[in-house]
Amino acid sequence: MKRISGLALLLVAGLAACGGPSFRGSVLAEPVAVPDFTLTDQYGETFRLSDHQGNVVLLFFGYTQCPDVCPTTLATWRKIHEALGEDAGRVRFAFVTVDPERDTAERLGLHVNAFNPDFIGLTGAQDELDAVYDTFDVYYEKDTSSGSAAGYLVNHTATTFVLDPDGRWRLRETFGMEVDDVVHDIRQLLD
Amino acid sequence: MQRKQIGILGVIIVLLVGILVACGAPSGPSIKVREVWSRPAMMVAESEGSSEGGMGMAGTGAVFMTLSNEGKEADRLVGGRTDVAQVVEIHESVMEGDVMKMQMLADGLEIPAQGEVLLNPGGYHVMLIGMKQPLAVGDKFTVDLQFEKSGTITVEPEVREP
Repeated sequence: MKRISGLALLLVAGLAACGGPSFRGSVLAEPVAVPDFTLTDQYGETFRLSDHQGNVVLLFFGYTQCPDVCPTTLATWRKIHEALGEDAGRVRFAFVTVDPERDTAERLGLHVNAFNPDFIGLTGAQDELDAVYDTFDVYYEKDTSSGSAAGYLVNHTATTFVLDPDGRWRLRETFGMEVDDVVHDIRQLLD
Repeated sequence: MQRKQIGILGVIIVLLVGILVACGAPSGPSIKVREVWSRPAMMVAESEGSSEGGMGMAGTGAVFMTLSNEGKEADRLVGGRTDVAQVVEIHESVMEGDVMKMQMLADGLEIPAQGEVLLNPGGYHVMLIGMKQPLAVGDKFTVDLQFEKSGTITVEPEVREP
């Protein structure tokens, strides 16, 4: 009798463990505890990741002169923000530049806040930025080869990274993600 | 009917069919542009050191559209000009894994005969470099698109939130 009830308990425990949240974005096999970092926001204030514990944090790496991919992502974020309604207060949308040479705090502010006044634009010293690029394995590359009048373009990772309220990196949402899918995932993390 | 008459009739029929087929499509390219829209764009006033950053420092924009070629010959979109920006270029965004690469198409973009090319977010776009004015939803502006064979086609993008 004891053995059967023991097994039954294991079964129940196993089933309970399987009943975890389901995500539509790409889930990391193991959540990554993101090392704390500091950058500078569009107002010149220090942004420290650990200050945002308790909130879901979305990170995207781009640059203000990017005419297509970055605005597309910010536009998607704006729709996500709207769809979240009141829950948006517990989510941080942060756009980190891969072009600190040209993206001053002011430019970042003009750019991201044109989409939503709550969005955060981040830059910083090269070593501060490198630490963050490293954590998320962000690829970026200045491209002067095409001879564009824009001077140089920057090729970069176009994924949105999602951190849970405990500051752990949990998900990747690919470029072209659907608003509903991301809202679903964010809600799972907020619960 | 005599053989000669049949022969002439045959030739006439062939010629007629040939003419009808030829009339069905223009012999050269025939470009139609539709659903032209643009993102809002910011204009940043010239600031110190901005010239080193290229003309895009004043801001950049993107114009999207559907280009169709109803003719029998391919054409290429090779450039453009507009009053709202200093330079107009044709660009392509290409995803390689999770990295987005953006490059200028120096030779422009081919629109194949009897074909259609979509310029939309994440793919091809007409890039506006060095904004001379900001673009807000509802603003109106024109772009003169330059085609290799078809010459200039002027379009009026609708500025909208994607």
